[in-house]
Amino acid sequence: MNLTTKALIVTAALALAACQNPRGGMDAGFGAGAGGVGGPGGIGMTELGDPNDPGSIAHFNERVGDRVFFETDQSSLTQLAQDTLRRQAVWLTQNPQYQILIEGHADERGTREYNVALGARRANAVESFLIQQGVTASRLRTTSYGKERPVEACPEARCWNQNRRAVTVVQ
Amino acid sequence: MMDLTRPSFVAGLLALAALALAPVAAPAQSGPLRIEVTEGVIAPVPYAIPDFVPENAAAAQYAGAIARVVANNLTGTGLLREIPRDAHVGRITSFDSPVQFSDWRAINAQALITGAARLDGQQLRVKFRLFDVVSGQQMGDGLQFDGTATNWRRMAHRVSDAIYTRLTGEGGYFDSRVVFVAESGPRENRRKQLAIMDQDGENVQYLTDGGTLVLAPRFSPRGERVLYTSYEGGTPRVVLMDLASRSRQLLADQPGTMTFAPRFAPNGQSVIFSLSVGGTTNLYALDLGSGQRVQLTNTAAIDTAPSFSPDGGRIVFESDRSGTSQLYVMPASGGQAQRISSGEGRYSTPVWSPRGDLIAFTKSQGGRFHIGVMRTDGSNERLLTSSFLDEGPTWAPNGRVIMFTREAAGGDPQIFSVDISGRNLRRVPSPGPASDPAWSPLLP
Amino acid sequence: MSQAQADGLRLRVEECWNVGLLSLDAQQAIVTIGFEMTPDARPIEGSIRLVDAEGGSAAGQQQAYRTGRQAIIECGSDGYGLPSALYDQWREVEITFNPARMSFR
Repeated sequence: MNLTTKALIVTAALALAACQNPRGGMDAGFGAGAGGVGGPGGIGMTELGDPNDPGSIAHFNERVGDRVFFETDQSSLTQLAQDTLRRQAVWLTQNPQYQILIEGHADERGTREYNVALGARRANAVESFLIQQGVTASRLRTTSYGKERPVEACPEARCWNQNRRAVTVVQ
Repeated sequence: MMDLTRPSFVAGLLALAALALAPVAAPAQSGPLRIEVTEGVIAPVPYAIPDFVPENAAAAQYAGAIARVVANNLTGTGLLREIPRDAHVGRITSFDSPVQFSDWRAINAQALITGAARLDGQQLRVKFRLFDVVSGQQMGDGLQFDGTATNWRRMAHRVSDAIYTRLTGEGGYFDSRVVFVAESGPRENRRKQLAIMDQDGENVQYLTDGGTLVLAPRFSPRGERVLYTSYEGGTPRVVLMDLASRSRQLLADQPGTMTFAPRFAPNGQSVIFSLSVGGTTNLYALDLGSGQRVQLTNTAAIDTAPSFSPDGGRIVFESDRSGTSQLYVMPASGGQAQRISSGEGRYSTPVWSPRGDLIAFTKSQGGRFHIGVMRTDGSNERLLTSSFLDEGPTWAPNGRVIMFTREAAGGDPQIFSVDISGRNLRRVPSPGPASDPAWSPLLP
Repeated sequence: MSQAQADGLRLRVEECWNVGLLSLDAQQAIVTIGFEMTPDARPIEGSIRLVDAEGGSAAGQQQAYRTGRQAIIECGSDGYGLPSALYDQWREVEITFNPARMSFR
């Protein structure tokens, strides 16, 4: 396979990844929208690596898919979500050197505290599924940001759909 | 009392046949004409508050400013309307001179406030009197407040409370503070800081630096401490802050759990909050003295937003145990919870009034959000507001006014207030976007 | 005297009965206020008196009385426009102020 063909294949793969992963690959790994990891005012740093490297975090975020989405008010996992989580579980068991933080989120159409609890429910649903799929429980932690960290803030379904999510953050 | 029933039945029949010219049968020549009035108007009562008299030159800067703070408070209730100073025909030049009521009747004032201020060194003395212009009588005793000049705003608020009580018969709410979340930055990565201000929006101070996400602060029963939710470790946890020292302590910190939605018990000795573990969220109580923690609810549902009754005997909270968020009341020690919300839609963030008679809440229905009140048994539900997003009510110390967060679609959140009659919806000034207000009790 | 004329008096007083400052306690009080009118249908201030009161506390009834009294005086300052030929029928009036429908409890 010559260089041009390889380049074309890589470009096609990236384009495909961008469609599946609405956030795109560029900044998906930097805390994945979290409020800051590593203490008050502290900033954690994680090397993302090359998405072509199957063991890199960038590969997990962009190729495997680091997030699943939920219906309004729901924390149950759709078929699509379960497919993504199965792929996540495979990658996570193949790459046991990483710790995992599952962040649960909600859209803005609810009150503040209920949404924190709903995000917790979503994170827990993902955690349980991953454990069921063989990921070691001690590697997993959960948190919830409620409606505080929207991926995109606009008063439309287009944004709300993206915000009702659980993100698997590999660290 | 009302004895027009018989004649008005007759009169009513005759009125159907012709214009209502049928004679009123009774009373005859003896006995008064009796009428029942059941409708009225709610119109702001006109009042005048000339600048307070400076009793020495040093007080000049305070005398006018204090009167303005009082006027702003009273007019802000929506119950009173100030007659502008440039319309006054009379002048108050001395606090003790008799009032010429004709001057104030001439501009249609029904109430008149006179006051004076005197500054000796750093000691400020403020006096006021309230008059019913219509009857030409003083309403209640005049009062005098003494304090340091730096506390001049608080003195103005206490004057306002005394006037309000004389006029309405209710306790006041002006000498109080509001703790809230000051917001900035893009919505996707919002910077949130705890802040505190006087209830009129003045004297803003910041309590946290915005480096850590913070949510929903609440006052202790005497207003000297604040509970809130902080993400400083990456997960939500309840923090207790002392306002005087700004010292903070993590409460109920347990790995693998998230804690949030804290509130104090009315005796100030324990705290109730939500704890999430394994995807369920239940209510817990923590005794601040002993550190002992008790689980109060034990369901697979989300139980959150707890609030105590003012006598400490009961807790109202939000639970989706029936499938959608509704309001429940249970004894403060836990136990059988009774559902009190009954309408269509979702009910959240219940808060018990300091008077004990009403519960305020957030309701969402058909894509709209409302602040509402209901009796403590769930009856007489009334919605006071409606918008894209109204949430998180908090009560004024006298249980007559509610503040809450309002956010327009795609807009920034602001703090608003509304009277429990649903009238007088107004924005509360804040330094920028603001949310999650909590109203203190009257300051000691 | 016609029902319409009695209603006219009631409606005039309702326009002036300002309940905005009533405490929640005073909103429970029902007060009956008696007074006399001059021949040109103006209330005689000195004749205004509390005839009966029920509900609410004593302070609430006091506030309710003051508010009703204010309404009688304010809307009658230009006269209530009642027919002088029937003066005997409306020389003495008793008005019961019942805020139940206005209450926001």
